[in-house]
Amino acid sequence: MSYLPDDRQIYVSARVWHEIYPKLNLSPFIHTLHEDIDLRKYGEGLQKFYFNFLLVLPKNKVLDPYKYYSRKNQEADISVRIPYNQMLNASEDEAIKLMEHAYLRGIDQLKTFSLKNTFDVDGFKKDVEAIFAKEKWYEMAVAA
Amino acid sequence: MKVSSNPEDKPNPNPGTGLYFLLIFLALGVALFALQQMAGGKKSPIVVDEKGNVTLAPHRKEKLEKELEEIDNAVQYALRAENDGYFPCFTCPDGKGTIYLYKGELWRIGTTRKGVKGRYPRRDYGAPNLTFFVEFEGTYSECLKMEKIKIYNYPLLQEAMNRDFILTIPPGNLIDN
Repeated sequence: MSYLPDDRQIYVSARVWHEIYPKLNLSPFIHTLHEDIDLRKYGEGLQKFYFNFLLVLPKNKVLDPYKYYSRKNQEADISVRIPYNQMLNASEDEAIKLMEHAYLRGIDQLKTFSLKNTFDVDGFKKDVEAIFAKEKWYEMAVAA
Repeated sequence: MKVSSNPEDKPNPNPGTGLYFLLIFLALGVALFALQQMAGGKKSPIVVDEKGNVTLAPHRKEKLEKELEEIDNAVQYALRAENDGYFPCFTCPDGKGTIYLYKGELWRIGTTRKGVKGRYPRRDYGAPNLTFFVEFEGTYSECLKMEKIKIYNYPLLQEAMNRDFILTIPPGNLIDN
């Protein structure tokens, strides 16, 4: 896996119930999106994108999805929930699909911020979809 | 007698004028603030029905229930390294202020509860490359107890014993709680 600098454009993290963590494979998302996406390509409105997978027990009342955008810092921070029971019963491939879906939903939420004419959200989403469309992209990312 | 032609040299006939304006301005501000407070305080904390029974006003009941629920719903969490690498260390003996953690190793133990805003805005856990593990759910009191037990028992973890120095508490914790 590649060296990962502390200061980068794309950050991927999770808030996760500890027992289900092994099913949440963050590494391919962290590394591939850092390496293959350059936010400057889509405009200057977004310089850092923090994404957080929320995968907690259904009864959890403490942690909620969220979305923030700082125009001053040109940073967005979005947390998207993955349904716990779907992840619990998912195979490895299905788990990645659930994560991909959540990530793309997070990108969609960028449209709710004041990014008009300063950031091409559709272009960003299209490029991320192209990464996810590659056969077993997540295995290649880990092996690299 | 020498007379100055510079107008700035003329004595101010009323030296206190600026100060008066400032005092008036401040008094107006205080009055406005007081009016606002009075307006906000119009909502009585109690209601009296036609039979004379006094009960808590709905907005106070609602606030009480919300705050009780927040105390009842908390999580004890662990922040663990998502990648091998250096992380801040607040209590390391060498004074370097960093520690090398392997993926999955513990950096910090903590507790948060519903309604606590801004604990980790913009994913700022105190260091990058950390994952937030929810390890226990319960009341705030239960979670604080669990947090304390885990912090105190940290030196007994295999990952802590593998080092050539002993850390009393996890590297991302500042104190025992």
